[in-house]
Amino acid sequence: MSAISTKGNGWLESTGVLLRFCGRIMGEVYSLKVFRYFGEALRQCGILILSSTIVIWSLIFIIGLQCGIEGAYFNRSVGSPAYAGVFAAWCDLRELVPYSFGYMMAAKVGTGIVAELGSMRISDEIDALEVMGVPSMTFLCSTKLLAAWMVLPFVYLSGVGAGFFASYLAVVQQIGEVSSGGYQLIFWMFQNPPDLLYSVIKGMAMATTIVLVGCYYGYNASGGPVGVGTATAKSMVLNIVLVHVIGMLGTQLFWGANPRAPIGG
Amino acid sequence: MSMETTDDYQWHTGRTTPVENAAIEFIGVKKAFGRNQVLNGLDMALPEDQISMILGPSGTGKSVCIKHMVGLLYPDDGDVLIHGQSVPAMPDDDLFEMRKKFGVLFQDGALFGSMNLYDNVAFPLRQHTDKGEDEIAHIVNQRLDEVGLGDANDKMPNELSGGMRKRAGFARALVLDPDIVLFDEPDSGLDPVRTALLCELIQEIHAENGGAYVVITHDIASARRVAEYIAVLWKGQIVESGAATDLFESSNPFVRQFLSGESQGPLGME
Amino acid sequence: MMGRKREINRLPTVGERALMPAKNLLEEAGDMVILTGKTLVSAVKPPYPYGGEFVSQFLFALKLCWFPLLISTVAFGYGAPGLQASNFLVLFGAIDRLGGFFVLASIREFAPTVTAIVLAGVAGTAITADLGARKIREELDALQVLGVDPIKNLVVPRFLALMLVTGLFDVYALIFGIFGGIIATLVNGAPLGPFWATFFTNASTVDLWGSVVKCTLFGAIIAIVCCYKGMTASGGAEGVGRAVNQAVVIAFLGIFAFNYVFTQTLLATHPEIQVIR
Repeated sequence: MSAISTKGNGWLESTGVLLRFCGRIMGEVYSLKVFRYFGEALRQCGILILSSTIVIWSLIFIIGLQCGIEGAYFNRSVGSPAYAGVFAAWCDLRELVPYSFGYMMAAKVGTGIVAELGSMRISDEIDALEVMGVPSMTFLCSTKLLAAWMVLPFVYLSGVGAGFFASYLAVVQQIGEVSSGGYQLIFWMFQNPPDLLYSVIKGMAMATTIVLVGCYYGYNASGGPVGVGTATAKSMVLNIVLVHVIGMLGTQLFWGANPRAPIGG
Repeated sequence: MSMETTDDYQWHTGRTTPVENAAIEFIGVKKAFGRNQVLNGLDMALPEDQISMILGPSGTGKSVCIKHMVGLLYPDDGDVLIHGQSVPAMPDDDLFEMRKKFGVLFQDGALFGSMNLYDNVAFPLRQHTDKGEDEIAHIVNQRLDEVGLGDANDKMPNELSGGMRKRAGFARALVLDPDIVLFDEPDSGLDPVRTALLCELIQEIHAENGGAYVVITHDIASARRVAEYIAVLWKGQIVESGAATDLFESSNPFVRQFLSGESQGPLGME
Repeated sequence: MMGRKREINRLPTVGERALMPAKNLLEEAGDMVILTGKTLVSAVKPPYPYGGEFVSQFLFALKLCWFPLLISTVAFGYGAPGLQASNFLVLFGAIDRLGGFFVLASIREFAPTVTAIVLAGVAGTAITADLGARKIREELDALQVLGVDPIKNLVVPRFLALMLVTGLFDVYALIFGIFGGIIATLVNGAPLGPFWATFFTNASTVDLWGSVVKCTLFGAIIAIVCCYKGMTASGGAEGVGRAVNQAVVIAFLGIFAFNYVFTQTLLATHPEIQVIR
């Protein structure tokens, strides 16, 4: 009994510590303290663009193909192959692009941050920064968050493009039961700019969470290279759960009460 | 069991030659990690303008000492004074200012893996001074020459041997002309010849720049070579401290066993 | 003259550098295929010393994954196919069709993929971290020196355990995904009877088998990628963390690429499952 309650307390306490950590990083970005290290933030932007964009786009592309195929087969089975665009539009923009973006962010960027910061922690590089009079949290974590906010909206938007293109390929070129023009008409009729904005908000909420969780696990890593590996694995668990929860909350918030379809009601 | 715990500190005479001009003082510092009491009322003063050594068996809290000096850890109890100022009582901004007085050489150099050697050494200058790139280049190259890495400045840290990484870390620690330089086990992972060369380098640079140098080690050979002041640490307290010549003559059985490296004596396997 | 000469010298290096990632990728993919072959062979060839390890890995994955998977599948099922599709169907007054849609969405697609994502992210990363730790502590070398085959004793049990676990978790994910759909139906104030009616008219055994087989194969991909990355982790402070990082990226890409091929093949070869009744 007491064991269970102490375990519960430990869980609550570590959530509190995590939230305080994230709050501090966000605070440093909002209070513009981070701009003292704007050069480092720009360097992080470059790393993000060079190392992560292509895998993120590839995953979104594969999932876009998937959406297209399922959409085409589903609409064929209900006897309206021309309406495959509805399925693709909703499936891509509202759900699967944010999810696949979140998955790949967690896998590539999130664990990458844990591995990088964790190895800096255990080889005393973070302590070295501190004793050289550089606030390490601002220099390492807040700059990463700033870089993510500067770069990822564009990565996300172009990812949406990749997903749309893949669905188009799957429905029109591969299955080929609907003409290009017919598909496009329905596809664009069933979405509008606010949908895109909501989708970006969903994706950015996931990205922010993932960067913060990654920084937390990396910055507080201990126990040598093995400890860094364990911390990396643990960050993935938390990120996967959070990506799904954020995806659900976003859907509930943005489309739960209002389907935003150009027909009916 | 209780017998043993009282016995724990029977060799800790605390005999010490008084230090007049202390750069660093520990006053009754206690620090525990979980149940592990690492520092247990540590009283220690390290003199200005000398090379001091903190000696002790593995796992007696030597590295924890260094982290207290630069404010990376705070004591549970007691106080740490740097040039008479209390570190734990400092607000964050003063702490960052105070740290500029320090140069620290970490165990494996702690060079930033994402930068080459030159940028690593230039990093503190770029962060804390308004010097132009020309001036920075002059200082960095001079420091790298001093440690004998003048022609390796575009190498990445993972291309260097352990000894070179340490020397590079040394160059980076010196680049802001610190008043106090801390060395965390400069001899770990080095062969005896490299250790000797590094010790020589420390002596040379100290002779040139002055300031308080604090070296943490359990290597007696380097202690004999460079130490001017020695503090022997065990179980979170000072066993004895004083001028190096006095300590090597000490009659304390623990100090004698440790400084001669014999298996017979108060220090066992535990 | 000098400049041109330099350019000639540099061109191939730039080309090589551009091709380097692709070359490494192909080499690694080849190594993984070899590892798969070795694993399969040593799994069937006697002796079979891996029983105990198999059970402990199985329970380990079970213990680690059940809770993240529960949250993930309910959240995914409620949000993506639940709310969005019911929004659409409510417009036509056809919310009863949600059950039929869930056969397509849940059984065929998201139950296996979400299971695979969670298993790769939770159990796969743990396997890589564990094997990576053993690699850099030189435990793997020690095993070989002692005459113990690391593939038979470490990789095979993880491979089999992860396949079994993902297969079983697929059913688990199905149940909780449909639970998310039920919540969505109830949120829309519709009765559950029609949901079940359309669900069971549409569900076919081919769908279920397809789903479970697909998910089991996902488990095999995750196990091979994560074991390979763990066993080849390099030393240094960053080694194990970097191995986990790469393992999970490769596993995700592998899962979805395989998913595309599998769905494609299943739909093309079993046209009867496409008909919504």
